[in-house]
Amino acid sequence: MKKIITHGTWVIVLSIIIAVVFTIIPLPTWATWLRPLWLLMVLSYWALALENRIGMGVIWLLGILLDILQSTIFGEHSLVLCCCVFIIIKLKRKIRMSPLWQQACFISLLALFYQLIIVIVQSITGKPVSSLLFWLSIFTTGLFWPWVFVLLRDCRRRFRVS
Amino acid sequence: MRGPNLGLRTMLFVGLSIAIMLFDAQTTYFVEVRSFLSDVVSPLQRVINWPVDVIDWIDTSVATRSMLTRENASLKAQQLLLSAQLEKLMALQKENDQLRALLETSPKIDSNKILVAQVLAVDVAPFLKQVVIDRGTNQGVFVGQAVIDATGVVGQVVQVSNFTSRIMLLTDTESSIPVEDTRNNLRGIVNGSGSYSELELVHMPATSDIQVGDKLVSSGLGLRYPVGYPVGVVTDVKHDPSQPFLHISVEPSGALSSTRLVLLIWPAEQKVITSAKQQLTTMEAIAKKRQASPRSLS
Repeated sequence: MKKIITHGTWVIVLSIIIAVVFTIIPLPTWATWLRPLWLLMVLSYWALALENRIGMGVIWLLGILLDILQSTIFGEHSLVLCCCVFIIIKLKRKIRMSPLWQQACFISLLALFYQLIIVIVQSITGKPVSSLLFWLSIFTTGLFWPWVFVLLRDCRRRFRVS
Repeated sequence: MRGPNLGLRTMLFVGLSIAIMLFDAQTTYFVEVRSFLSDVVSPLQRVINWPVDVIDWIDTSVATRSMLTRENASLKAQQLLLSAQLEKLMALQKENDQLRALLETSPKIDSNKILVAQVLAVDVAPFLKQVVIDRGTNQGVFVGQAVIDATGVVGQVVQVSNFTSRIMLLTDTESSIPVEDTRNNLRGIVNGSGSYSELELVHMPATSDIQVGDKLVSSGLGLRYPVGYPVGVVTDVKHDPSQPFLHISVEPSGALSSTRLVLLIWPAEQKVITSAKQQLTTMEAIAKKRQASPRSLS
């Protein structure tokens, strides 16, 4: 059996920590609805680039971490993150081939799916999302994707993450 | 290579997520787990809060002499004003106690203990109006505790752990607080609307006397919030003839979205309950009298 050599795990860990920090860092009141889905973007990148590096179990645990930090019901973010990463890995050939702006559109769609599940779960648990501004994060996620992608790609090449 | 495996693993974790969600929604077992895990992530929250503290510190340490003198002068003026008001209040309190003694009702309840807490500079999901504070069960914070700031009621504690706890602000869609209009003692309930600076006074009949500018204070009827703290000011009253109730917007008095320091209140619990019972019995007696009087007339 071939031994898998891993390299640069700390880059992945650091990128995830930064994404989590960006998720809870305080924003001014007018910008709270504009916060992009940082963890979704970072996990999507690593799933696209190196699909086997982050296991589903880790993604599930990160979802639980988000649930604690965001004070939502346990399992809500785990569910969406696992589903989104699954979709990314399934479609990764098509996504990798497409230019950055198309990728951004695809990530926006993924963010729409993410927020849709959040809205559904919130409605079922009796704490419905009250504002339509909630959907704005889909566009900001799309806008930030090219930068996140290029940044993480350069990091991956520079530190030879494999 | 791991194609068929992937679907299976995803299914497994999706199933696990759904199971855990159902479990969390239906039982209270995870309250402890959440409390423990909140302690685990609290260092992260403190680290994120740290730059804001540093900015505050820099702000105070680079303040110029003239700024400090000015601030000092204004604080002195404020202190003078407040102590004058306090003296008046103490006289009124004494008079109030005497009058209550004459009426043979119990004295107004005061809280025993107050604790200052700092709001940590971390955000939660934007659709939940909550903040995290740096005090937890180690300082005796409990779920359901009322939280106020210098200008009014802020909200109540909804989740505690050893070092931090979460406050649900009045603006949260799940928040309700019983209030009283200071102008005419009309009672009502103020609900959160989910937006940052708006509350709703609900179920007021179309004929009720509520005007723009009315101040609402907590009535203490729910036994959760203390009596007489400002909740908000009525900013808009709309009457739609097709609706049985008025649509009343209220602006919260507390600085809900920008507050940095809050006060946790410990109620004198036993006193609250006995006084509530007493009030209920007197009200029942009054109601009985009213019922009885028309009969005696006829």
